[in-house]
Amino acid sequence: MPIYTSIDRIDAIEKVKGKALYAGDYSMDGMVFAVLVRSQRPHAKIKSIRIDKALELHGVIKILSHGDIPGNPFFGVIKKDQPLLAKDIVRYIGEPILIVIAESEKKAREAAKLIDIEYEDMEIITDPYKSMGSSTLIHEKGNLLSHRKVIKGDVEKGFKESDVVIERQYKTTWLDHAYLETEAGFGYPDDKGRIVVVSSTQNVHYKRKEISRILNIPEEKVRIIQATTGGGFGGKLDLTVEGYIGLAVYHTKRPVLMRYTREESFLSNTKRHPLYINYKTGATKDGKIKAIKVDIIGDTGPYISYGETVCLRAAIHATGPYEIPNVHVDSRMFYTNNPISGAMRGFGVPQIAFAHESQMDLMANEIKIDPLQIRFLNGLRRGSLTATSQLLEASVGYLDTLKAIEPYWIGRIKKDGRGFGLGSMFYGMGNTGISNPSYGILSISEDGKILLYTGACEIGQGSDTVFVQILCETLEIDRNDILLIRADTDFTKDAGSTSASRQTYISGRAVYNAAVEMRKFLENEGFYKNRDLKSIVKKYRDKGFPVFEGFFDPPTTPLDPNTSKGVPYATYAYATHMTEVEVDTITGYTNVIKVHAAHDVGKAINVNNIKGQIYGGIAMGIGFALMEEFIPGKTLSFDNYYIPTSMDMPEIETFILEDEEPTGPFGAKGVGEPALIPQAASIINAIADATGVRVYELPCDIERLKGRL
Amino acid sequence: MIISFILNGNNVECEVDKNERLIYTLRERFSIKSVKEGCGIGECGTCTVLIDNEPHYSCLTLSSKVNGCDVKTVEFLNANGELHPLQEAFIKEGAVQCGYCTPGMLLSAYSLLLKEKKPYITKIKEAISGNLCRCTGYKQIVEAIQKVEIYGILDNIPSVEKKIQPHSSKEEILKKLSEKKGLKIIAGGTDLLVKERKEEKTHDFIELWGLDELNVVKEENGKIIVGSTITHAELNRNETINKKAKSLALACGMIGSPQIRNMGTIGGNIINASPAADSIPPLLIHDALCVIESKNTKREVALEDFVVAPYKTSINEDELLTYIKITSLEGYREGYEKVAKRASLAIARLSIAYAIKEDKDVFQDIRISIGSCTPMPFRPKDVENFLKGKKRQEALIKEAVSMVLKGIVEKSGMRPSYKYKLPVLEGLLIKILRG
Repeated sequence: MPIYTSIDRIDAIEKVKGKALYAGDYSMDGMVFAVLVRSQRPHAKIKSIRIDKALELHGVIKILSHGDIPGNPFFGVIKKDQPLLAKDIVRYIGEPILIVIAESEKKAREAAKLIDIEYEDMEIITDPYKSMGSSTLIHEKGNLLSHRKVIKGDVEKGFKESDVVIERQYKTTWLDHAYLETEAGFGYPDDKGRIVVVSSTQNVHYKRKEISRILNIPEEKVRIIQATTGGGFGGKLDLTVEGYIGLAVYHTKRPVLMRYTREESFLSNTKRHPLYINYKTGATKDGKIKAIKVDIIGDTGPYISYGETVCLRAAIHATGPYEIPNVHVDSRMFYTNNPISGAMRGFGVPQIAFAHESQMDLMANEIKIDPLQIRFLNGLRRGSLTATSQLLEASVGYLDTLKAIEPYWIGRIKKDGRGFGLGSMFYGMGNTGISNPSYGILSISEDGKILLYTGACEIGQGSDTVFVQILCETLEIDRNDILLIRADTDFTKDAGSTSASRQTYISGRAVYNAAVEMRKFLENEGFYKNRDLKSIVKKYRDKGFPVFEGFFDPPTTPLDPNTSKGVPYATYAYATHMTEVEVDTITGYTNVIKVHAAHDVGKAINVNNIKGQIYGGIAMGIGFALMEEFIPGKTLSFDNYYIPTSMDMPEIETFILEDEEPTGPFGAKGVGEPALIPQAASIINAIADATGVRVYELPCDIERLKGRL
Repeated sequence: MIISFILNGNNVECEVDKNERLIYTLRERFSIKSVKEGCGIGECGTCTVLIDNEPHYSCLTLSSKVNGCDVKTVEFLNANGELHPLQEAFIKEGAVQCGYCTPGMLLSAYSLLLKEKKPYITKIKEAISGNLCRCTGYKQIVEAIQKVEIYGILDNIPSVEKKIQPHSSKEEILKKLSEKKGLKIIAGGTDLLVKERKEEKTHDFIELWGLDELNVVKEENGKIIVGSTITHAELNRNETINKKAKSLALACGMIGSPQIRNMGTIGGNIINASPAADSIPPLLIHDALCVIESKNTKREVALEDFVVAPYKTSINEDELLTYIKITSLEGYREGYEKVAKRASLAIARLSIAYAIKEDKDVFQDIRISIGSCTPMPFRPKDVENFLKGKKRQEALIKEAVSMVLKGIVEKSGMRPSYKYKLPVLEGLLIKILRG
């Protein structure tokens, strides 16, 4: 059962009226526009830059380059390796080189076209296999970014004990977040001489740190405010427009607007990592998986972004939601001159889930056991040891997801040209093996409202609503008595980023902890007898309102650098999707007919939001499985990057299961990424069921499937 | 130029720049920021507005086009200070996440509900298929539209307020074309304005809006005359076309998205001459003749001769495509097959228009046209003739289909895409001929 309080999304009214202001909607007197001049070469030395013609254009104010950066010219969410503006070398098509600032956006773009850049091309590293052996180094320290291992038991022994061993190669490609709002931001100098940036972002506090470093000014001199954000999915975690806007405000002392066109967004935003996966599974003939050996090679592009995170997370999740006694995973990320790959909904896990779920079905087929049974037999449960030898003690609802699907699986009736497939997943909540705390702060306003300050960014997933709901439930108050102040570095404390399905679980718990403290206070003040907040306001107006700070950092441990042994995540979400497809064998077109989606969310806080996440995840999974493919140099915009439309969507039935997580707010975990992760795998398994043909490379679009039929 | 139109029920007037787009006018001159840019090329729907109650992409609409029209943005829905039932439904059903697609989505839904109060789910999905959403998977949006009645009574008034629209005549246009060189004729703008953005050019446009005399479908001397400024949406719903040129009606219903179909015209589709144009294969099987006029001349050219190369026709700078004359194929088994990567907003990877007249399993007449395969859509007339008068048999069908495939390879060589296209074509043609 979901928590008692049920409310509508608190941001929906402004959004349906069209009143919500996104970063690109801001304007201010004296505002100027900034655009970037980007590299047209994938790997080259910059020989010369000529800007005189552009500067002569009426309306052009300034053109900034690498040399105009007063502080650290490099940025990066994990390591500072990415030049804000390229200096001597460019390493991918679209790499920013100059900022053109002009009185109008049109002028700025016109001027950008007048700039001549002379390049000397260097050898291009186009894939990770080329990268690993190449003498051409993208960075001085070599082309290998990261190598992580997950080791448990003895795989050789495990394979010996196996009756059947199956080994296959899987490949995925670049995907674009394709949020409908492109990257945008608006900056201005405030009356205290500070630099304020209002942007479309998933993390304001990180971006303040970066701008302060780039401009070499104290953090107090920078204020970042999150604008209403039109989707993120991981693509607005990295610094996007903010650094350029900060620099432009610094140099012009004027309000600056910068928004990427769709073409720029496609060109520059980080992509889902293409992974090349070699996956070997050994099992006994009664269906027990004894060992897996997995080799993951990733194309991380020329800069780090979240490359190391994806490298490790994919490795840890390589088993899928199964207890496997012997595990050996090698996961490596190589630099290339392709687009930068980074965070995208699931950090490598959707890719690896495609592989482990394909393997499960292959194995089930080989040893003639039902695909649901083999998952049940090996599924994680209370008392299981994960691949990192973490003991799962609570909130392990995987088997419940299978049980929820079971009646539909057993009752499935296969029609001509149609097939059914399962996909399961587990997903660690929050960052991997590191502290990732959050704060929620509560107080009371002069006019008798409960004030909630949260640093967590609402990017459409619904965290604002969830936090308010947690307050309503804990304090037994009406949502209209709560005022939410969100993601503004002047007022809120660092809540970490909106990623890793962590905000409901971690920031939600921090808000809950603050609410518990506030409730004690309100009880002492007699609030629950007369419900009179005004008398409390009167009492404290002069001496100051009390402040209640809630904090939560999920208990994890650092991982062993050689084996990854440890507790990477305090808890995991679990899910199983069952998908029915119809394949047109003439055209290779796959029509997704129906999806049954079962998710262990710990505790449901907002049912509408959970369903919304699941439906949206299924849509993205359909795109991942069947149509989405970013081709460097070819994909420019939505006319050649297809995401699902309303007409591509199946019927969907959801099953929200609650195996409560003791550390979560009311037992809640996250669902944002889990919603997507099993979907592509279940489609591929369904296609195999329908046609007898299994596809190992995504997307399984009309041409790729037809080629195999 | 100065334009004047109705914006959310109010008379407004403003000066617009040359080739200014409606999205810019609304955002920058009227501060209506609910109209969002998502791609600028008519592929996402966040800039959707209603023009005379029909959804249009404002990024591909020149502001001059709405002169005299009724324009609505999402602000119209709650103009009386209260949320519209549809907005309520969106909130309550969880149809809003990031909200960036929401204003456009609401307008497409509102336009549908003006026409149909209780639309079926397939109608709803189709109506919003030109509005991408990356967050919701569309399900709660569809549910909100289905359940709108729970949230209030829908007003009956379609409330199109029309001002007197500026008219132009064919003669005026032809005169202008004869006087000035280098003018680009714009009708729907769905191809031209995309190209203008990609090539970063500003054209001298000559606009066809208000040219009502070409906005017709009529029958004359046994031929159907289609005016070149008729939109795809109009052809898709037109009774005569549905009865006598079904494949054309079907193809026009599959072009792009609802917005594109409300904007793009049959004339534009022909003149753009894309190998993947949806309307050309059906027009070919209807023996389309293009009526081309200039100030002093008028000629009729068969469509197959008029399109001379990909994206190229034999039209001269001073000429205008005014009408298309097609043969009625009433009583034929007609259809249009479009192969694409997704269900809406897609370019045809391959397309086939067909019209077959059979009598007791004998092919009396057979017309097939294949698009998106060769440089120009074409009719394999040798195969059509080969089949005519013959009895439908498996062996005959196989032979005919292999003739088609052979002909294609002979004509354009073995292209890399044929690895996919030829087997698909083979399968689809067999299916079509089997009936």
